[in-house]
Amino acid sequence: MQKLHYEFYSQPKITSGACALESIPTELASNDAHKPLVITGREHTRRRLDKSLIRAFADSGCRLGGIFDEIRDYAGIGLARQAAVLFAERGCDAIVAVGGGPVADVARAANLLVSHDTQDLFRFFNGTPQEKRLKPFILIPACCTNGNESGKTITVDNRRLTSDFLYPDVIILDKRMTAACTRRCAAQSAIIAMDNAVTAFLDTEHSPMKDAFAHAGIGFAAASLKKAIKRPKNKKHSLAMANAGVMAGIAAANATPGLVRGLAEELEKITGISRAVFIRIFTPAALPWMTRKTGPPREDLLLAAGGMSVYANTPEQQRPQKGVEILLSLLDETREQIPETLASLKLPAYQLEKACVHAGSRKDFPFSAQDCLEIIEQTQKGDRR
Amino acid sequence: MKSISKSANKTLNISRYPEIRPGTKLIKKGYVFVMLLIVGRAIEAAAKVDESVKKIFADLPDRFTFYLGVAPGGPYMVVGKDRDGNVRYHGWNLHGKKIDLGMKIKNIESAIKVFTFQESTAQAFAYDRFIVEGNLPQALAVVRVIDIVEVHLLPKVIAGLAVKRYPKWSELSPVKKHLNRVRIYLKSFSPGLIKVIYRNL
Repeated sequence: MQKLHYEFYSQPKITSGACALESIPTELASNDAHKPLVITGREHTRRRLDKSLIRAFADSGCRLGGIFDEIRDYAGIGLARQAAVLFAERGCDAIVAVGGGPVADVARAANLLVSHDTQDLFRFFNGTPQEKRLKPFILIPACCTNGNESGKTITVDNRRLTSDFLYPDVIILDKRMTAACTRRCAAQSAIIAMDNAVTAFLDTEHSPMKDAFAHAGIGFAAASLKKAIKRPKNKKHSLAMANAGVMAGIAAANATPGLVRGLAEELEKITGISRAVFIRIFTPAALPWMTRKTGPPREDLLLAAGGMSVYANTPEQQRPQKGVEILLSLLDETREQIPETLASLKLPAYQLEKACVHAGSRKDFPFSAQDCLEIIEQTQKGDRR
Repeated sequence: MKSISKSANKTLNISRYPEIRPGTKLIKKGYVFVMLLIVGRAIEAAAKVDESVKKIFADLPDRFTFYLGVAPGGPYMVVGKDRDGNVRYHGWNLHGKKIDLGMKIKNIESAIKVFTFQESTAQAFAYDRFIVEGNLPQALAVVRVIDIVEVHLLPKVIAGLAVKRYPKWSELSPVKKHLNRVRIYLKSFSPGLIKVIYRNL
């Protein structure tokens, strides 16, 4: 049945492929900006990604206000304030973030500060509405991503803020930047992208736009995940996975958080272990659980993950199950890079319970702490087998 | 921005993050400049030699002038119809010319892709590499002219990459093509070229 009543919001313009980096000055000019501040991570400057960006600005007539490369693996308010000071001192009028996860979070937090001319970032976290549009923000995903960069949520000092204003204005996907540093990093980004796409796809409030983004995200990931993990520096496959990450991120930003996602986010906050590890561990138990609770997934899942020929060759009744099987087999491709069992992480039981309670008390999370505990129990049972 | 600037964090050493003025790609700009010069002169010549180019320009308004170049600072080529309806290459200088249609390639790297025939003009349009200021049907007419000129200027192997569809024998006989190619090359590199260069310096 056609779904005619829905809401979908996606701010960013996505530019992918050859010469995508070189289009940044034009995109800045179309946002009436000419002097961006570049925010990136230490690891990215060590890999000389900043040099590629500077070369892309040649003959553009734009000057770069500076390259703030203090970000490592944690997004803190102190870093956002420093970036905001540099932005103001240099008279910049836009922000370009090179990297994923903490880099994008710090860049958007700095953008909030400079756009509202304030030092108090946490007033937005405490419910103060944002009155102004933010300065133009261009995101260039690079290396590891956490799936939230292309969406509307930032996490600063372990506090989450969600707002439609936080979407990037432009997302640049260029193969010079997307290559992953290690296989583990590629596997983590791939798992998060898959989870985002599947969460959006299995959302009970599905809409044609969300399905389109999720379908494309799963398609890209299914086609390139194996090769991207095997050869993380391969430009073609890493670009495909970056596309998957961005599309899945936008779809997930418009969906209710799934059970695995919510639980994994809380566990990441408590333990400091990447969300991807928990997604990898819980998904094999969560997919059958979801099937029992909400019924089998739509057969389109098989079309997205397996492609047209597999879809056409599978009898209609078996399609939902086959779709789930393909997803699990894709997850299995990461077994050499990411732990498979909860026991291998040696987490104390109180941390697991705490995460379940925190997830269950989240306003945007449609599952209870009891549901989360059930998933953990089933995962542990599966581990023992 | 005052409150942020005033309270400039003393722990942040701003001089560690210098302003960066990106450089210039002189060789690539030079290559595109030469290619635009050749294509501009070839359009002028083709408008006299090739019937289809003549017809496309005849359908454009009187004293129609367009430029094709690279944003933001050039190089450019300016081509237009004069008072008598003859097509003229006006050089690379935009100043003092009444332009009806502007076509800019967004950056020098994209221009290199087009002028090294890694991408055809139509493909570059599809990839959103062009900015058109003016009437879009006129821009597409100009793209058709450029395609025809490239067919005449380049050997088939290269022209096949540069145009959307290479014309079949029935559309353009080899004899006519080679004859026109010689005429276009002769007209393009005639002494008139020196006159144009002198006028633009």
